[in-house]
This record gives sequence, structure tokens and C-alpha cells, in this order.
Amino acid sequence: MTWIAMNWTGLPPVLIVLSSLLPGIAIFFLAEERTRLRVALNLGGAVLKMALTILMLWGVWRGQRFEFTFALLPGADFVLRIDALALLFVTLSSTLWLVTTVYAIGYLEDSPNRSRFFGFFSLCVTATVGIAQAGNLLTLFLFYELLTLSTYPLVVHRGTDAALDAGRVYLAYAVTAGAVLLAGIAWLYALAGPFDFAAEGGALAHVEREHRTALTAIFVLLVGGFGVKAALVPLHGWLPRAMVAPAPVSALLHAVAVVKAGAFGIVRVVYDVYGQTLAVDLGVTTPLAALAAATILYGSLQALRQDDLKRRLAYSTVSQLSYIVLGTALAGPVATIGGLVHLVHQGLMKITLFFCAGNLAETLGVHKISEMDGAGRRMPWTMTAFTVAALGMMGAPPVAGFVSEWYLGVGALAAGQGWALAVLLVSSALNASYFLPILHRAWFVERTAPWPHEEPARSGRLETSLSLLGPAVLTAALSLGAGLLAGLDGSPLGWSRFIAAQEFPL
Amino acid sequence: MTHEAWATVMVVLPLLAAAAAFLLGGRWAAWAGNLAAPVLVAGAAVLALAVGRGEEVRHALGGWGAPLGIEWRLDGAGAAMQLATALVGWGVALFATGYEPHGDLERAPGRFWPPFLMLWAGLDALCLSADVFNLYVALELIALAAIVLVTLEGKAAAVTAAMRYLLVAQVGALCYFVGVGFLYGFGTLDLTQLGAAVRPGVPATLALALMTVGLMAKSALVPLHVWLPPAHSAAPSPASALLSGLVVAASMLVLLRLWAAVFDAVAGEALKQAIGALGVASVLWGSLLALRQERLKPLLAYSTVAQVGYLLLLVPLGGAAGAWPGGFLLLIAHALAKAAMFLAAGLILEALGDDRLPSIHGAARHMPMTVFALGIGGLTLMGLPPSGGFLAKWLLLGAALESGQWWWALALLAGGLLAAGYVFTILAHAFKEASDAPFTPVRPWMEGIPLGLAVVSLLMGLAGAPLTALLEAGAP
Amino acid sequence: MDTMADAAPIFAVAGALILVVGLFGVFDRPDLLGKIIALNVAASGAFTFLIGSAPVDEGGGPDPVLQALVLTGIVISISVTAYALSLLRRVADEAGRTTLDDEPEAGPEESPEESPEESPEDGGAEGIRDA
Repeated sequence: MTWIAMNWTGLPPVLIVLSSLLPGIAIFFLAEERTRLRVALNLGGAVLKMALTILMLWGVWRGQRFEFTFALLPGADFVLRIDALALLFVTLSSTLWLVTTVYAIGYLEDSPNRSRFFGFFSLCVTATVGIAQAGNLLTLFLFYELLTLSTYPLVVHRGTDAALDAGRVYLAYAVTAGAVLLAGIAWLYALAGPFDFAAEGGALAHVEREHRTALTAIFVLLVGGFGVKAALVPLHGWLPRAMVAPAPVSALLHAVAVVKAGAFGIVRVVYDVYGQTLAVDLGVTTPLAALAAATILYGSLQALRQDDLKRRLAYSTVSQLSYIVLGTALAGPVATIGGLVHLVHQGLMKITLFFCAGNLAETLGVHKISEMDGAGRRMPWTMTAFTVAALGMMGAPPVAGFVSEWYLGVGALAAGQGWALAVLLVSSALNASYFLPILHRAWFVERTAPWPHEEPARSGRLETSLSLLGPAVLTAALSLGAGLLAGLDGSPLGWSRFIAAQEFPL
Repeated sequence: MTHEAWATVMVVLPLLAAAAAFLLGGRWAAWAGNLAAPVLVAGAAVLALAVGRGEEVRHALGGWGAPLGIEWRLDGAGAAMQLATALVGWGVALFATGYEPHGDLERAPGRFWPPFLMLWAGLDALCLSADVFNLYVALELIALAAIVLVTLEGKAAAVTAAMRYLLVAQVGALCYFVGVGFLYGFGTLDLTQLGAAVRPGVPATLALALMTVGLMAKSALVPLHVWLPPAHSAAPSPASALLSGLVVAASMLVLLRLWAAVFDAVAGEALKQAIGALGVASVLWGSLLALRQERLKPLLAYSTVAQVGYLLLLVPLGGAAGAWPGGFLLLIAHALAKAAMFLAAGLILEALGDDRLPSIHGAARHMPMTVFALGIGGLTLMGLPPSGGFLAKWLLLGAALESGQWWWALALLAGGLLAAGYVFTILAHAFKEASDAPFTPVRPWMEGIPLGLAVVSLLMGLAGAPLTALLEAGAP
Repeated sequence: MDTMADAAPIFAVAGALILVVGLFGVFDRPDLLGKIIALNVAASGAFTFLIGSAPVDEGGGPDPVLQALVLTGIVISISVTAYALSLLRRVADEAGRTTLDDEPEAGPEESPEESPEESPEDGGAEGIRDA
């Protein structure tokens, strides 16, 4: 096999991908009734992935490089490479996958088609860690498309008309985005030859002078392609509709996999393909920042208008995700840190919110905010977790969201783009205005009517099943911890500073 | 065994098996096919490995070499096609053994095997042929076998479609035949020698026009495509797999070889662009009509019309780096994927009673493996990674951009989007929950066959480097 | 080697004309038997054209390779015609007529007609000619 360059340092990245791919394939073949085996495969894969992630963390801390290459085609390599950014995303994905797997197992107890669900669920995570570890645009694209393909069956899982409609809209956006992305990548490869991601973004330096217009056009194509998954306005239309999917899917889509992959793609393009020097030089960062700002405001405004809880959270995601894009587009070291760390923080907080929404729906039949009166009394742990996460979204210390917003704000000023700070402040205010009423209703309003559909199987000694409660509380605690302990080197913040230091060598 | 011997086996064994199947009839006919199939797969693999290593595989029949004698030569593209034929053929053989026959086949299921095996022989002979006349004979053998395959179930629609196919194929063959006559004017019929001998002028242009039109008719390219959807839909599903996957690929293979070896130097740029445009027309028209279909098999048939259109892009893209391997990769990936999808459609027909799209609701729950096969096969049609179709698309995109003909790149991307439209239409129907559809379970091992073929088309996407190396061996 | 030698140009020209007439007949005639016959006519024209445009060798006869081509072509043509006639018989038996159903006009209305399950039972009214 001369076309594979393999030594042991290539193993961990490959194994991390396989740790969900192989169980996923196996799960597809399992009969519906074999619950224990399916759970074992699921959790086994998730734990293995965590173990490998920890191994790589330890390795990178010791200065070890991990890389796996093989030639897909002459001149087009499949590359998995672990750099700090990749490791950040991989760690986020592994942790949240483990938690979501537990949640999903509990949530989908006794529902049909679980083998199919968990099979595609595993494929989805495979695609996500593949995106995280991709060492060049082609590999990234490969896994990006795999993500679209593996999330579609999850969105349409229930098989209802609404689900299929949402799936159709999702595909229309995602497949078109894929074509646009492929056009950009093929064009870039034709222009500049094959190249890998380079931390200093030097890959395109030799092309700059002759092909400025082409490079700008390609940038638009790439950002457009990634922007669909990253829910940049006006490419966000699929996201609120996809809320018909079961709660574990919404949690995964909105915190870990799809939307983060889009944002991650944009980060890679700006830093590791173009490099922030070239990007600023081509003049593409300001329009991108403006687009991000518009998305931030639009998302929050739309969130205000929603009564359905998951849809409000969906629009909140649209808005919050563009914090990452804004941080990247402001092209200054501090703003970069803010954007990168928000990748992690938003993931933790948003997944908590979706877990709680799922708990409310599953235990009490509550889907709308207007039905949430008194939820705090009935499900105190869930609502506490929700409160913690909501406070973080508003940017209230000491939850993690405050840290990222602080860095973004300071970074905006440092980069001379004070208007961005104004946008962030307005957004925080808007966040407060659509989260505080929920908290008020849940905690301070007495319940008069019976719950829409109380599920007796869920309520026992605890307010709901442990497998639904535990993950929500855990991720809330992590959101709090990431904020409180942000000063530590090993925290997401410390890490983001490490990554930014490489992009902006002093 | 020497390569020459293997090459002979590849053509002679299926002929003998066809004869045996015809004489024995009944259940024994299936034995003939199922015994021959693995041997042919082994032979194709051996030959492909040999060609990939750079060894020459030539055989002059009767000891008389070119230009007067018939010489067999296997290059990379031919070896790859032979291997694809063998894999699809084996899958179809296994499938046909377990498949419930319909129509006239119920009385005499053994009737499937002789035309199937003769088709296989013809395809192998086509891959080995190195001169234009041998290609003609092989094409005629293939066409005849294919026509018989269409008629097997005996319904009115089937025999009518077969008749139309016969007329179109014969007119096409006649045009090709006259073109051969013109080409002989350059002194030889051997492809390589013709490449050196041909000069632009009236005879060459006439040959080009006649042969291209004839082969386009046989490959069902727009506007000569009308015969294909009824024929492929009316044939029994194992036969449809062969027809859409291999037969159409065969005439395209001849067309591409002719252009690469002979006509590329003769034709003007405008003509090549026009032919490329016809290819795009096939892609667009075929995809649009596929989107409008309400039944699974006609949808897949129109998809074949669309996919074949991509191959015409090789005419304007000519010698651009990556065009030739890209085109052949597409040919082979499509053969495997489309065969898988037609076999899957056959299983759905068996299980759910008919293949009208609304009737396949609930298929994802009842027969997930089959729906999976449809999905994975669809990946190649859409050109999504990690399938073989994606690699082909990537190579063709690169070729288009490198040669400055970026408009073909747009066509490739648009075609992929349209394909996603009709593939996901099928999948959406399959995922939809049905209340109470009557469902007859199919044997599990049958589900494995389309899945296996689809997975091979997927794995092709990971084996790009060795495959392109193989395809470029001996490329013009 | 110049195949357009002046040896017997009359045969070549006549052959070409017959070929064209035959092809026209294939498309124009509505009845299948007529189409098959026209196909044979066209084939004969093609063979004549090929032989007629062959260069003459020392013995005064046409080029042997071309003869071989044409002989093969004739054999194939006969076999296919035989099969076509038997297929015509089956079409008459199964579909009750000896024409193809109407060629659909190119356009979106094509898809309903392409549906193969739609056996043209209404074709019974159309002229059933004795096959």
C-alpha cells in the first residue's frame, strides 16, 4: 500500500474517526430489539473516542505531532492533522457526543427505528471529528458532505410530513452549499495547486498578486458554502425548520455538529487558507464582519417573535454562531480569541438549553414558552441548568458566555472596529429580552392549568429520567466551570489564546 | 495461466456457458451462469493487475496480427471495464438466481441466462478489441443480447420497447458501419494505426459524423434517447441493471476510444464544443425528466440518460490532465452504482408490490439495507464524497478548469444538484412512514447484493490512486 | 491510399442513395414490417456503397478486407432481420397492432406516456394490419 504514509502517529486521528464509524455501521445491522448491544456499541464508541482525545491532548502537550495522509488521487491528498484548533473542536465534539449519546438513549426509549437513528447519529459524529481533523480543504469537504448526508435521515427521522418537508428544505440548502463549496475548492486547487492548511496562512501567498479578483471570488464561494451550515443570514432558512427533529438531534445539530462545522470551516478559510494578512489585504474581512453583525442582530430579533421554545433557541443559535464569525472577521488577536473560545462556550451553553427544552417536551409535553408557567417548581434541576445557560447567553458573569463576549468586545475596540462592540451590546440586551421572560415565567409565575401531557414513565423520584437530567446538569456545570476557571491554561480560553498566538506571531 | 489464455477465457467461457444454459434450460441454466461468474471475476482481476503493473496483454487471433488480422489488446480502461462487467455480472447472476420471475419468465426462468451470458461475452470482447471492425461486431452482439433481455417478461410494453430499441440500434450500427468504411480509406482498421494515419478532410469528417451519431443513438444521448426509458423499465430488474449499467457504457466506451484515438486530431474546436453541449443537454434533460417520474424504474432509466451525458464532456476536454481517467472512473462507478440501484428497485418491487413512488413508503423501515443501497448508489450519481462518482467529478472539474473551459465545470455541478433532487426524492418517499402497506419480506441474502455493489462503488472513491494509475496505463 | 478511386463510382453513388432512401423509410413508415424492410434496404445500400468505393487491386476485384467487412455485415443483417421478424410477430400478438405507439413529442408531457405499465389497450382501434 504505497499510497498510504503510515506510522504510529497517524493512528490516533484515524482511530478517532473509526471509533464512531465502525460502531455506527454495526448498529445499522442490529435488529431493533437488541437494545443492550446497541447501547454498548454507542457508549463504547463514545468512551473510546474520549480516551483517544485525552491521549492526543497529552501527546500535543508533550509536543507530539499527529498526522495521517493518503493519496486519494495524484495531487489530491486525504490529510488528517492535529493542530491546536483541530484538537479544540475534537475535544468539544467527543465530550458532547458522549453526553448526547446518554441523553439520546434515554430520550428515544421505546421509539421506533432506533438502530437507524443511532447508526446515522454515529456517522454524524464521524463526520464532525473528520471535519475537525481535516488537514486540507478537500478532506474538509469530504467530511462536510458526509455530515449533510448523515444528518438528513436524523432530521426526517419521524417520517411525518413536517419532518420530510424540513428535510427537503435542509437538503436544498445544504446540497447547494456543497456544490458552491466544491466550485470554490476546485477553482482554488486549479489556481494554486494542492495545499494543506498552514497555520500562518502562507499557502496562498504566491498566488496573490496576479489573481486578486479570483481569490476574492473564491473567498465568497467558500464562505457561502460554509455559511449555509453556519446559518449566516440569508442562508439560515433551514435551521428553524429543522427543529421538528427529536431533541437529541437539535442538541447535536446546534451545539456540536452541523452549525459548528460551518463556523469551523469559515475559521479555517480565514486563518489557514488565506491567512488573516491576505484576507485583510483582499478586503473581504469587513464585509464578512458586517454580514456577521447583521446575522447577530437579525437572529436575536427573530428569536423575540417565537413562542415555540426550540424555534426561539434556533434563532438564538443563528445569532450566537455569528459571534464566532465576527471574531474571525475582525482579524485582530483578541477578537480571534473571543471567536474561538465562543466556539466551545456556545456549544456548551446551547446544548444545555436544548437538553432542557427536550426534558420539558418529553416529561411535561411543553413545547411553547407560553406553556412554561411554573416549570421551575416542577422541574427545578432542569430549570436551574436552563437558567445558568441562559445567563451565559446573555453574557452574565461568571458563566462562560461572559468570557467570550468580553474578549470579543475588547477585540473589537483593539481592532479599531468600535461599531462591533455596539452590536455586541445590543445583542446582549436582546438576548436578555428573550431569555429573561422565560426565566420569569418558569420561576415566578404560578401554574394554573395542568401540564399539556405529563408522561408518568418519566417522573419518578427525580423530576425526570436520570438519562435526561444528568446530561443537562453536567453541561450546565461545564458552562459554569469554563467561565469560572477560564484563567487556567487548560481551559478553553487558555487554549484559544494558544491558537491565536500562532496565527498572530508577535 | 498466461494472460493470453485468460483473455481468451474471458470471451469464450461466457459463450460456452450461454450455450450450456440454452441447451440445459430450466434450473441448470442458473448453474451455468453461477459457475462461470466467479471465474470471470478472477480473470478480470488477474488481467487488471497485470495491466496495472504495466505488462502488455495482447493476443493475435489465429496468430495473424494487425492490420489484417484481429488483435486483442487490453489497456487500462478496457481492463477496468472488464472488471466492472465481471463484478456487476456476478452480482446479477446471484440476484437472478434468487429473484422471483414475472411474466413469461415464470414459465421458463432459464431463458434469462443465455442472453445474459452472451451479453457478458460481447462486453468482454468489446474491452479487448483494438480495431474498429471488431468493435462493430462486439457492439452488435451486445445489442442483440440486450434486446432479447428486454423482451424476457413478454408484456406488450416490453416487446414494443424492444422493437424500438432494435430499430434504433440497427440504424446506429449501420451509421457506424458506413463510418468504418470511410475510415478504412486510411489504410487500416486498427485504432492505434488509424490514429497515426488519419488526415482531416471529407472522409474523416463523414466518418466522425456517422460514427458519433450512431454511437450516440446506441447510448441514448439526447435527442436520440427516447428508446431507453421504456426499454429499461420494462425489462426484468436484473436485466435492467445490466442494460443501464453496462450496455450503455459499452457504446460510450467505443465512442470515447474513437475520439481519443482517431477523431480528436481531426475535428475542429467548434465541433467538439457542440458535442460537449449535447452532453450537457443530456445531463439537464435527463435529470429534469427523472425528477418528473412517478415510478422508480423509469426514474432510474432517465438518470442513466443524464449520467451518460457527462461522458460526452470528454470530447471537448480531450487530452486535459485527468479527463480520461475521470471519464472512465465515472463510467465504471456509474455501472456499479446504477446496477445496485436497479437491483434494489427489483427487491422493492418484490416486497412492496409495485414501484410507484408513493408505494415505497415505509421501505426504510422494512428493508433498510435495500434503501441504503439506493442511497449509496445515489452518492455516485450525485457525485458526493466519498464515492467513485465524486472522484470522477473532481478529476473532470480539474480538467475543465485547467483547460480554461470553466463552463463544463458549471454543467458538472448543476448536474450533481439535479441528481440530488431525484435521488433524495426517492429517499424521502422511502423514509416516509406508511400506515399499512402490504409487505412481503425478501430473502436477506438478496438484500446483500445491491448493497455489495453499491459499497464497491463507494470504496472506489477511496482507491483513486491505484485506479487512475490503472486507467492511465496505455491511455491515448 | 485513396479509397475514393474512380473504380466503379456508379456503385458507390447508387449505394449511398439507396442507403439514404432506406433510412428515410425507417423513420417515415408507420408499420413495423415496412420499417424492417426499409432497414434491410438501407443495409444493402451501405454494403453496395462500401464495395463500390473500394480500390481495385491487380486482379480487378475490390479490396479483400472490405469484402470481409461487407460479408460480416450481411450475416449480421440477416440474423437481426430474422429476429426482428419474430419480434414483430410477438408485438402483434401482445399489443394487438403492428405499429409502434406514437412517438411522444419532446416535452414535459412525455413522462406519462413513458410509463411502461400503460399498455396501449386503446391501440386496438388503430389499424390492425395482418402481420
